[in-house]
Amino acid sequence: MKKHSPKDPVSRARRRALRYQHLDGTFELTFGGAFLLMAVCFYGLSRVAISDPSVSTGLLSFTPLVALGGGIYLMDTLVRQLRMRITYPCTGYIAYPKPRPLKRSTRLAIWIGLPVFTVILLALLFLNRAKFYTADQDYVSILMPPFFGLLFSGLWMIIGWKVSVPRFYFTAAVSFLVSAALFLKGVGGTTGIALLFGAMGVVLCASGGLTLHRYLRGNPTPQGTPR
Amino acid sequence: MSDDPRSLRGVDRLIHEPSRCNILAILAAMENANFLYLQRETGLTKGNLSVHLSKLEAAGYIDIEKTYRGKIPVTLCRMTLAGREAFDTYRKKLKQFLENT
Repeated sequence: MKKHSPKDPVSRARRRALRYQHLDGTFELTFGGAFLLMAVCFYGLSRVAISDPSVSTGLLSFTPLVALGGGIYLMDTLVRQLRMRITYPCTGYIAYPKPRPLKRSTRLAIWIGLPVFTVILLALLFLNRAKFYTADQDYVSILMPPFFGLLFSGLWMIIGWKVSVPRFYFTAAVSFLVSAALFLKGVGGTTGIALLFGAMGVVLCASGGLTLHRYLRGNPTPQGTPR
Repeated sequence: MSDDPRSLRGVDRLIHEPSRCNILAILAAMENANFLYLQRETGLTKGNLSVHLSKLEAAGYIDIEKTYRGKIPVTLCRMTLAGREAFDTYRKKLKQFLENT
């Protein structure tokens, strides 16, 4: 497909179609649910870690993989089902074209930029570790919440910018603030991650719920209209 | 047909109508869309949209598939390859005309 300028009617239609995915808040609701699930999972692990640290290490290595795979599958199924039942009967159905492959320069920027960003961030945090917590704490576990917080913050910023939905900037800000607070308080490890995921889940569910409420009030299901 | 870039005589009259142009611009941006989405996006009445879709289908610019989702009838519209080519040509001609006037 050709690339068009932002003023182009096709570009406008494409942008509106992208924004249409986020009109009803189901995306945030499902994401929020997945985040809350992961928060519960990490909280459980942090409780196990207190009683038996050896069990926790074994569980920790598998949990993120299972949570990620299961979360993606669950999210995809849930979003599709919610849209089938809520969005499409109210405001119509669209199928998106297959995404264009990324440009070589973009691919390189992602593959090189992301690891470089991670290394710089972790190095900076490591070099300044004395300012934030005492020497007897495990700095790797302390760095996990800010790392995830910044990563999520960046992702929400990119999504917000791509689809022109300002409420995602708020989600990005919450992610950044919560992770910064956890870092400054020295809350790390599975407890810190559980708190970060929990806060993100609550914010996403609240934002998604409000959006869905507004959407349903503004778009009642039309009766007798051909679809 | 005229090749004069200052002339609009060469443009496809079927696409040049604002509502049909709008429908094609929407369909060009996606794989397919149903009647309800097109109606909301274009702001046309059911009857008007139906007429425009029929004209575009008759010209071979779009495909209309009527199916059922449960007991509810669903009308899916998809732009054909010929439709994409015609719409691209129309846009090029219009752009050329605007640049030369």
